Amino acid sequence: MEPIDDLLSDLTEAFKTQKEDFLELVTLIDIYGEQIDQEGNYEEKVRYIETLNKLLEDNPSVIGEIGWDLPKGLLKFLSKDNIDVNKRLGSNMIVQGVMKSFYAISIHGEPKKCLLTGLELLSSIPVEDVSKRDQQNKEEFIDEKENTATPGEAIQIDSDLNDSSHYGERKNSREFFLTLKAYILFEFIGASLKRISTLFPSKYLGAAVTTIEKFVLNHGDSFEDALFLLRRVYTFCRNYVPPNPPKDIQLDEDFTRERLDKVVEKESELQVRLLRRLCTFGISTPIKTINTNTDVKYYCALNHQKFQLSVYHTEFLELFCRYYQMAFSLDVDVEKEFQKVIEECKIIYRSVPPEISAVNDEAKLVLESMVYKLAYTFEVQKAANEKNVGLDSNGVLLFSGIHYLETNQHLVKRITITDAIYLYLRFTTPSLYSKVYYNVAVESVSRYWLWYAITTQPLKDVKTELKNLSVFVTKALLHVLLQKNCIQVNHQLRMISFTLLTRLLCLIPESVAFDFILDVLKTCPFPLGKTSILCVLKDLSRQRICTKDNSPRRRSISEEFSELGINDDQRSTQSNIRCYIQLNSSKMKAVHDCCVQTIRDSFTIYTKKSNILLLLTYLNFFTVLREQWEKDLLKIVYSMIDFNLKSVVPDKLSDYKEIIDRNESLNDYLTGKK
Amino acid sequence: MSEFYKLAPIDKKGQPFPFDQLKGKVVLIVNVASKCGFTPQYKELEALYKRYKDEGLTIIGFPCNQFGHQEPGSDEEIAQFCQLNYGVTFPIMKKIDVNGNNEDPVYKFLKSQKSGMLGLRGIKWNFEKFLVDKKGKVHERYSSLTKPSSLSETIEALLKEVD
Repeated sequence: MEPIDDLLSDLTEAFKTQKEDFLELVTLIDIYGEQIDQEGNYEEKVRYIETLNKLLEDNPSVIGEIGWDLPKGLLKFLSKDNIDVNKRLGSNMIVQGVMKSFYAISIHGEPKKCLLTGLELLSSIPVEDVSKRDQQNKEEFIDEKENTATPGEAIQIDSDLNDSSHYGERKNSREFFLTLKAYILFEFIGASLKRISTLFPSKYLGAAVTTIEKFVLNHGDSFEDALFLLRRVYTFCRNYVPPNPPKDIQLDEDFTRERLDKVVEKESELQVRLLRRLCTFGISTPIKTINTNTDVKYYCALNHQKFQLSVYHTEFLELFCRYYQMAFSLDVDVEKEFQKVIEECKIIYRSVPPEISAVNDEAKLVLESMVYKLAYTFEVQKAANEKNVGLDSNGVLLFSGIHYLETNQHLVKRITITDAIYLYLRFTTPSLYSKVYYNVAVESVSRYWLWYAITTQPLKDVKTELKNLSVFVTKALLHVLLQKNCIQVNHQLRMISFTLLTRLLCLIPESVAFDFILDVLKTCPFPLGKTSILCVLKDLSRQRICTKDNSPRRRSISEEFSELGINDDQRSTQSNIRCYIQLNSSKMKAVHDCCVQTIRDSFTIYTKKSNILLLLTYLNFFTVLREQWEKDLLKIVYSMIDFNLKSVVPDKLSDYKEIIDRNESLNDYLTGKK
Repeated sequence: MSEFYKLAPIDKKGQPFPFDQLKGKVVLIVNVASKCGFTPQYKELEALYKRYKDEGLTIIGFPCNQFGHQEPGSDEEIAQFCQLNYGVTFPIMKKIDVNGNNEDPVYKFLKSQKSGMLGLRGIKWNFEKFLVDKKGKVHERYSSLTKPSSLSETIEALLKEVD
């Protein structure tokens, strides 16, 4: 590399001599930039960037000609070689210089070309190349905070990326460079968009919205810092100001004032639709892995427990609320849109036939699996046939939940259990077929509506509706709830969702509930699912249905619900008509067969601890229900376990210690010792 | 009579503030917040009020917590904040919603009369302004970015209009 002083002198000279030949000037800037980035040291790079920036600022007309061609080269300087991710960005002069240059370009560059450059770069920020180099740098702290409170003016040099007051977030450097570049490009795109003078701004906004959506979709799953994407999209959307129409429009006979007004009106409408779309998409997609805790809040309210969010979730809630308010600013009638979503769900599921329509078991299986796929097929077809830019349904559903989080009120006063179930299936089952649709935020709100439906509608009505609902739909609901909950890592959420499942099982017809439980015991791939459902069966076989007056007008919903008696032994013993699941010989035999299979699975060479735990759950289950259970069946269980225990090698016996104890206890009962 | 004069929002003390008392006045209505980047506009608003109140200008502030939760305090705290920090003497009303299901009738009316950017009726952020003429007609709507001091000329023109 030639000495830096010479290189900078050549660069300065090029700005003087190549003023007429812009292609030549751009080429020189590219060559010098690449050379210094590859071969120069930090100080030399800083000097180069500062000099380039000064030359650009002093030559706005040059920026007007070549500005759009420079961002790609400038972004190359934002690499691990030039930036220590452990230090504050404010102290890095290369970052500062690059941002200043972007600012100058966004002010003086040709806006349409700049916009296209920004969009192109945003959709192609290299992720993998950087990550390969940065594997060793996985866990580092950066300070970053973005202020979304006041509208930004072009590129903010003293941006929040410099703010060290933010609590330290652990990030890998791959994400660091991606967010840094994305931040600059989002600002650049927003600033360029504002400066475009056009009669047809929707064309440019549309291009920006499409690129941003693509960027969010591509990176939403992998971003550790979902807040970054949320903030960026929010800021873009909120700071959008429609470009002015060209000042030199010639009105004549062909293009009259009326025609101009119509164009402006149509364009305004299109821009609003694009912004609404981005607003609903922007809230739902970046937080696919973040629980909104809507159902948790409602559960806590039902149980008079204090609902408290972590600092992490509080920060998300703050942004959720901003999106929610932005929807109102964009004249979105959230309630009306939510009702539309409910109607859409009805269209998907209302024609699911009753079980009786299935002529044989094969037809039943076909119908069962069809229910799971309905929403997915609907989604795919909707996406394929979408002609107009519409709201993102996930976003609308999320707003219904945020409404509750924000106001403590419910968006709609009444939702039937049927609608709530359709809503739940509509938003949870597509993820069974494609990862694209996986969204825990949306799932949380769907569960909240299930809770709301069963706790606000009279129990009698809920039960009647559930009785009339297609069994295929009911079973799909229960299976999806269970399956989703089995992979839930948060203990509190798991507990709340199991409570919801239990309560639903109390409300649906007994035969459907038992069929479901048996199906889980036979086929559920998750050991946790089996153990949990066994505990549910234990409860439902013991708790008795309340026989008091069920008139909803005379009693509060919470009173009614508490009388379902789940987890409330004292109350349940006050009435004694019948249990939610009435055990009889055939039911006991069916559960017994499942237990026998578990015994077999628990004593193979490759058995897992989860199998042993499940067997232990069965033994606990029998301990509680032994008075009701058929003794002959219990004797078979005891003998089988006893026999198999004899074949366990001594060093494995410790795994079965509790099984041995419980089995002996069962024997004591059977032989009359206890 | 303009619908505007039939409105009667609640003031900070919980008492109705009938708008029929504003007949013949030019009114500037602003949704305010204490913790916003635009909060310093209070200073210019107060200056406008002092300058034109004797000529018939009234400014009315409606605290609102919908935008970024930037008005979290009680009505009493808000009033105290305005008084202590900006010496506000124009009327500050009770905290309200300006958008959504619980929007205040005043804002429902104002928004129905004048839409904002792109024809949108919803209020975008704190410190949006509605200027109402002496006949209760919404003359113009201004975004948060419009500085109150820049409205002097328009206010003067409206004040000069005959009742």
